[in-house]
Amino acid sequence: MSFLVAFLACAGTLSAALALYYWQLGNQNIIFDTDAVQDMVVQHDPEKNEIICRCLIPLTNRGEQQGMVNNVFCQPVYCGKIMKGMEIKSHISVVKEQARENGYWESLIVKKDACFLTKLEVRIRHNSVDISTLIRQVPRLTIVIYYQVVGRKGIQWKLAELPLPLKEAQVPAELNQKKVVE
Amino acid sequence: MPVQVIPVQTKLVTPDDDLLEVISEYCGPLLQKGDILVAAETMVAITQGRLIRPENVKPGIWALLISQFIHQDGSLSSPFALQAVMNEEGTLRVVTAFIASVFTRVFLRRKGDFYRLAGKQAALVDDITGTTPPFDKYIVMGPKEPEKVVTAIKERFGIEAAIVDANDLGRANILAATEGVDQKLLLRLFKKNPAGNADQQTPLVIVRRTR
Repeated sequence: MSFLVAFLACAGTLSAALALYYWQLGNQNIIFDTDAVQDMVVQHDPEKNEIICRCLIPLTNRGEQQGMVNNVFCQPVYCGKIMKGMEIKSHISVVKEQARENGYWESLIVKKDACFLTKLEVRIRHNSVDISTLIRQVPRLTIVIYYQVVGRKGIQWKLAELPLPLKEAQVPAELNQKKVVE
Repeated sequence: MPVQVIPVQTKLVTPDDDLLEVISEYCGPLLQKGDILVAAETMVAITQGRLIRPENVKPGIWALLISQFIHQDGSLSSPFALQAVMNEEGTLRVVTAFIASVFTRVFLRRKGDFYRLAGKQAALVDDITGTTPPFDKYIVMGPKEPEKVVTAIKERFGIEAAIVDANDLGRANILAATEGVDQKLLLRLFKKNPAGNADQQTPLVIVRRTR
């Protein structure tokens, strides 16, 4: 009997110690930090009737463990009936020296406290209305970023939202030059 | 005797491909009598369809727990990859290997026993991010029956063959080789990983002795 009690006590203590160890290790906390967006540029190209939005979004891990960002998708939030004629292409990629500009998101290990810059590019066109009409009706377009993180404690799907101010156009350098030439 | 190492670039090899046909297409015109054809372990595994999406793996309590004790740089630090190994090698074997390795690590100060005891797949598995795209989204297991694969290559092409697991960290491991392969030579050559570890797409290497 005393052997059984001692065995159960040992097993219980060991299980509790392992559970405590598992709990204190923590988990990843990888986020697309949309509050810290940098270099937001909104360009209007009247010739192509296109609005191009670009910005840099930090991808950071504020957790205790590393995680892997395995899949990332971005898509616009519905913005009313005008969306019927809109063509929106969004693409997010990690900023690196030899970046592939093909839309493929390569699985990425994000270690504890690591930070990567990602570049979001959104191209918006409308097949029947011009840019000024479009931005009057849709002054802001929200993009949602869904991303899958494979961590050491499971798989999580997370979401980040980023409102793009379509109104605040900045004339790009190349369009500016064109105007001067004309 | 000097040796020439010729990495052979191929198309992206997928599970739809037949390994021998890939070798025939890309190495056929290059192969000479006396050559050794070395195939990358991952490519062989891919042609065998040894790919698992992490979403399709449900880690059990043992995988969740043991993976926390493995260094984060190792593939088995992911409970998904560890569970995939457990599914092949057996949970009991992996758990026993873990417990034994804890003792040998603490009392004998010996490292690596977990990988030695947990079965071949423990050392061969690549977690997600470990393989060139599009297989970076998959857990890639080690190849099945590598001895049969090298024998089939020898029978078809009449040359010696080997399957090697090499990386940029200076580690190389021969999974299987036909009898005529100088394994010491291969290990020396593949410590430099001539096939590359990124997206060079050169999973086949011809080793040729020159005079």
